[in-house]
Amino acid sequence: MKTSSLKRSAVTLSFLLPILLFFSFAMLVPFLMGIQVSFTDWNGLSRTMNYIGLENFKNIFISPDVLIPLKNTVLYGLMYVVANNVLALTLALALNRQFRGRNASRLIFFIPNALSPVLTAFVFSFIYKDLFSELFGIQSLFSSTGTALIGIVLLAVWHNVGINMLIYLAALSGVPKDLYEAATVDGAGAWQRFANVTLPMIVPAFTVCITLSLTSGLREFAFPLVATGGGPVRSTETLAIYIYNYLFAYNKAGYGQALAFVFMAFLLIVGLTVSRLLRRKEIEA
Amino acid sequence: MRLPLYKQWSVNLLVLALAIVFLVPFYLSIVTSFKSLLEIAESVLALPKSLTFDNYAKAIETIRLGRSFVNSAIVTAASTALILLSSSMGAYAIARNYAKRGYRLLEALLLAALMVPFQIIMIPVYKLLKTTAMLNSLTGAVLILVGTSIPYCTFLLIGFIKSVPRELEESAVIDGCGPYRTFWQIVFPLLKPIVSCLSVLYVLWMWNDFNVSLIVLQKDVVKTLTVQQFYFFGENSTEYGLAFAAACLSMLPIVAVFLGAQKYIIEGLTAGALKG
Repeated sequence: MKTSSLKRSAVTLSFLLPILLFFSFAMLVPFLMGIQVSFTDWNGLSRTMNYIGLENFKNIFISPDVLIPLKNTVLYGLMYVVANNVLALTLALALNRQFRGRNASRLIFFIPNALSPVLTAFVFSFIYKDLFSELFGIQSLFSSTGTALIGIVLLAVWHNVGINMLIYLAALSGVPKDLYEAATVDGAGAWQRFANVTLPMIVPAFTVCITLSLTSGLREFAFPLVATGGGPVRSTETLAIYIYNYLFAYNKAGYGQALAFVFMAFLLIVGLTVSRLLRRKEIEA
Repeated sequence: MRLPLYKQWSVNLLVLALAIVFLVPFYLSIVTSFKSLLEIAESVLALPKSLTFDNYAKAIETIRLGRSFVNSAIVTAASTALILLSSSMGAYAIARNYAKRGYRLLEALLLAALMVPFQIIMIPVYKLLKTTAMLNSLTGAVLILVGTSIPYCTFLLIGFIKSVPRELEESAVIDGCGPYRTFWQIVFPLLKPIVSCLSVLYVLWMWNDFNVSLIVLQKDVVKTLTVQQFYFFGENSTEYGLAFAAACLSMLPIVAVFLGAQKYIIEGLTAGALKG
């Protein structure tokens, strides 16, 4: 009996072994190494590094410089979440009917997902610069500090909106039809049906879409790096780019690593708070 | 809940207008790739005056498209296969032992890993691959891509496997089926809907990966398409015709895969595959 249970756990372990090995190599070990680096003054190149205790973490909180990317990141995260979810929900509502071209439209709004961030950023730089000047006679959105961040939001929404649209569509198609009929019998208008039947029924989709788009928006890295390199005058420099620069360009890996951990704490707090708030609405509904 | 006809049509018009806006970037990429610089300067929106493939020929020559294309294909195929195979095995073990605390803890660990921003492991990954002599190797990139993708994939699969009834497996075991055969011949085929949806998504995500490839693949021989594009667009940002020909060539395979497999993605997503 004992040998068979031993054998059974050996079998289970063999099922787990592949993910454990890959996960440890690519995430667990690097994560632990990262903790070590964050307490040093390592420059990212030299063979030696000195432990400096909490010095890096202290410097983050007294440095006014970090406030610039923090402001950009928060502003970008908010604009991105609102724009992405408003458009995704609008599209889902518009496509949640029987009409010719329903499948084609779902495909059209989803297909930008197939492009790489590099390609997307390049195509949009061209659109902002050459198409906008031809059509509207205005400068590229990327050329002024006031509009550059909005330019990034637009291209990110174009690229990513399809996923949220499909999640909202799935939620909408799960709303029972008789609820609408009951509401209509009770004399509810279109708006009332939306606010009192549709919205409460799709709160779980809001939880998924808002939490995921917020945390991915706050981590935005590839789009601004490729499209603007963080410019003009640091107006699109997100925290992810700021950290990347410390790690690789400024040769201050220790400090960059400490920044990354503070960044993770920030993401965790925001993500958990938002999902908890939304989950609470789910129970009420 | 039928809207009046005029409202139906105004919604249709809105969808149509948005669809056109969404397609503009594709239209521009294609027409620009056939134009000369002079034509682009005259008008961005106009169709090309003649259909010449000069830009394409030049693009293939200058950016070593073939090499990075092969690199991307290798990385994508290897990572996607490894991610799906190892995640479904791991998720099976976790889902079927969910009563035990250790396995729930493991799931919690995977969930926590989803929150870790890539910047945390950027430098350590660089260091680790350098000491193991896997920097600038496709193997190194695949290992990191697989390891960083496993938490999300396994997490989704755990949820799915929990909803698969155990009876089939139990009767297979009674019939004398060993655990490996039970998994590969009974359970894995049942996972087909979600595995095919996730495979398509991971093919897209791996093909388009930027973060990992940017750090790991810096030498020309190993660069994947996205990394090659990054440097290429940086250097040739004014040679629009050429750049867009390169862009269209690298879009082509992935859009083709996407169009061929969109059924699985949309079905999977609509069935709630990503809800977790």
